[in-house]
Amino acid sequence: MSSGVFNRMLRHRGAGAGLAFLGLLGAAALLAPAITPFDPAAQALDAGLSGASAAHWLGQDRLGRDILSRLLFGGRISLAVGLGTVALSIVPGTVIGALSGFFGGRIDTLFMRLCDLLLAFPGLLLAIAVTAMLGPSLPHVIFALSALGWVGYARLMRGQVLKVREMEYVQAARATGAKPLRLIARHVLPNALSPLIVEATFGIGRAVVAEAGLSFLGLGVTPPTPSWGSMIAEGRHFLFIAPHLTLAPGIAIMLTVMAFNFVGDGLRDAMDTRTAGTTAVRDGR
Amino acid sequence: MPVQSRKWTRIPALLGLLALVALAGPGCRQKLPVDEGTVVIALSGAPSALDPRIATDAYSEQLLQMTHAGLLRRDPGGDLVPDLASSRESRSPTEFVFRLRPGIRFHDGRELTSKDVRYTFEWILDPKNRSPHKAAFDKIVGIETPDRLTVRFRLREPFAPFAAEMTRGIVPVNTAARGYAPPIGAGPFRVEDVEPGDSVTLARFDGYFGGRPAVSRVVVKFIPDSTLRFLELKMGSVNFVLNGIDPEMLPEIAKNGNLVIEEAPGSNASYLGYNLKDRFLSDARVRRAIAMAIDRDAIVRTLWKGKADKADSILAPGFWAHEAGLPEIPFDLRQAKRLLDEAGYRDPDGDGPAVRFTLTYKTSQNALRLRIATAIQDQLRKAGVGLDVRSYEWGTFFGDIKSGNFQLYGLTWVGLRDPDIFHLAFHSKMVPPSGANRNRYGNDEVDRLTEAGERETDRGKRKRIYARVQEILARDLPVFPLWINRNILVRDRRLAGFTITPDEDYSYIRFMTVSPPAPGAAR
Repeated sequence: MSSGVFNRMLRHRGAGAGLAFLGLLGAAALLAPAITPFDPAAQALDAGLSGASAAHWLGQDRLGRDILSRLLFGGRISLAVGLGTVALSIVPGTVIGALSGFFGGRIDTLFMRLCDLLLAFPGLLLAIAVTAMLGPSLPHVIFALSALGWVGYARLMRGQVLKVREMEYVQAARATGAKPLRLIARHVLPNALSPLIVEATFGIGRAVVAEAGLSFLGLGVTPPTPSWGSMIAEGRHFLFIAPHLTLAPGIAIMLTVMAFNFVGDGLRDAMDTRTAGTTAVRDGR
Repeated sequence: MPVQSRKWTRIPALLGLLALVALAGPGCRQKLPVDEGTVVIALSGAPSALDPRIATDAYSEQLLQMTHAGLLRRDPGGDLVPDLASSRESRSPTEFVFRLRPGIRFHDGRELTSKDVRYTFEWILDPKNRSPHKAAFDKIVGIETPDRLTVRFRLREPFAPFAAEMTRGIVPVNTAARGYAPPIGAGPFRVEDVEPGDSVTLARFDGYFGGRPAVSRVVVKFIPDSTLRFLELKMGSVNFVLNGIDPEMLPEIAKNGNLVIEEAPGSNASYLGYNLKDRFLSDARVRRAIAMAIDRDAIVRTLWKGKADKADSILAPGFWAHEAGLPEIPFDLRQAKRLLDEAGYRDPDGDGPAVRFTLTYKTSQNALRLRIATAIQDQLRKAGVGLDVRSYEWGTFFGDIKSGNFQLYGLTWVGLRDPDIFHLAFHSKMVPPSGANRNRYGNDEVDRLTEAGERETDRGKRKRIYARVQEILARDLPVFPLWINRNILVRDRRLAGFTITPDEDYSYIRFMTVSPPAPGAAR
């Protein structure tokens, strides 16, 4: 991302705030073992369901565990799943989409029919089936969410490549005798990536929600590891007598997803070639 | 000034409207089931079958207690008394004769005779029907019906639990289908409507031989989520829940003026199951150490809010076969650590995070069970034993337990009514699928004693046999009995007449009455 894009993005209302929040969250999650006042698994059964206090700022859950500590440690899981899923989806998605769009023909038909087939599966349902089969654990959740996650990136990439490969500079490079793989790597990909980066930011937000859903169903991490989804699942039985158990992780999920979406919006506006005034598209017209 | 005068005339009109609303308020409120004399019961799950010949799960049995009748039934004290039968006699330990009451009718008006009784048990015994109850009756070698009201059972050998099995519901002759419909029986209520997975509506059976029930209609809803059960109780759309409300929610219930909480002794025994074929758990010292590292008092006090009592056997203390004075396993972390050291599993870093070994603990997805598992995980960590808690949907979980695919598990014995459970659960030949020896326990003396207990018909002698069995089990610890839950009933204030028995017998719904609303009462 060039510094121009970054500066334009920061001017976007919300994106700057989103980025600041995510920076804070990332730092808190990274430093969780050092900054949390309590072990997130340490129980105090007799203090179960206690409200906020000087020692426990967000109160204690049913087993007397500190909610703030669990929230910060849970943030690690959410961010790991969000980033892990997108990383694991975007790489095969980009490669398949680029090959498909650049070469066309049978390769394109084969990959795109595969995409159609996979898109016919309901995503979360497949993730539930995969984690139920493999057993609940963090890597399994990331794998389950990426199993279908790459399809969207592949289709987006293919569309971009179809457009970019007809550009004059690509045609010129081809005329000078550049090999297909070099063409893709040097000329097509760099000019087709922007929408994927924007899509990836939204993808992280979606993965955070999906992880919360899986953990809520008991298919995410195993106890006593905290995750925002499992915190909500544990808390919902006490919604009427101790709403803080569900409110804290609920608000955390909402803010995190909102932050990623704001950043995505900002990136889109900053990278949008029409508003940014780059010449690439105009040249093609 | 015309404008002002109009303003003033509006005020009495407004007041009149308010008064009307206030008067109409109580009358306009939505009519609740209890206002129409209907009892609405919430069960935590749906029954698998409304056929006494094949049903085994607790929810089915609870529904069948209202719709079907057997030769014998249990009185509130747990003793067997005649039901369809007017008398029973045993001419020898292998021969039982039941005399039916005359004029008993099924829900469809047919008379219930000895032929129906013979048909029911012959159907269960017919291998092609694959009834899960076949093993309970396989000592029967002949069923005779000398006349319309007499049934004679001949057994291969004396079998003490036989009478207890005679509580099974009788179905009309020639109802060949598994899960026949409509599920006609001779119980106090007939099935009026079935919404699979959702609810069953029962209507009182006017021709019930034990007297017409006072309640005209009983709706049984299946609500797996405890929060939903709580909400429906609060709203009044459910008015009877036995053992289905989380202990934490009881103070909230107590605040509701329309609901009453009743507490009575229970018999459901929660236990920790060990796999005796496991390399760590085959050592009795390890099993004892794990038991000693669990602080049951803390769990009962906090997670059960005191609505359970520590157990020393899988039989509840009120039960005749329960052996009083079994040695208690105390919560003793030091002794637990010493036993583990003795068994050769030293803690690599003392009280540090590294563990001696890690075991997998399997449980269902029930929120309270999972919470208990997490509490036990924390307690065992203090003794240096790591626990990997895995919760599964019921079918997978129970399948794993039966097939021996586990190290530790938490489960509850529901509805224990005869000490023959010790044969079913601890005889070496009763490993599933033959029985319920899920822990793969084998002890020659227990085998001999539980076989003798089945043949012995004298209750005093049986008690002595099972006392010895319980002593051996308390020493060997193939399972660690955790606690016996108390029975907690939450009901609408206007329902009365239900007797809570330790085994949660729903047949007492037939004695329930609904009182009319107090004048001016509003929800």
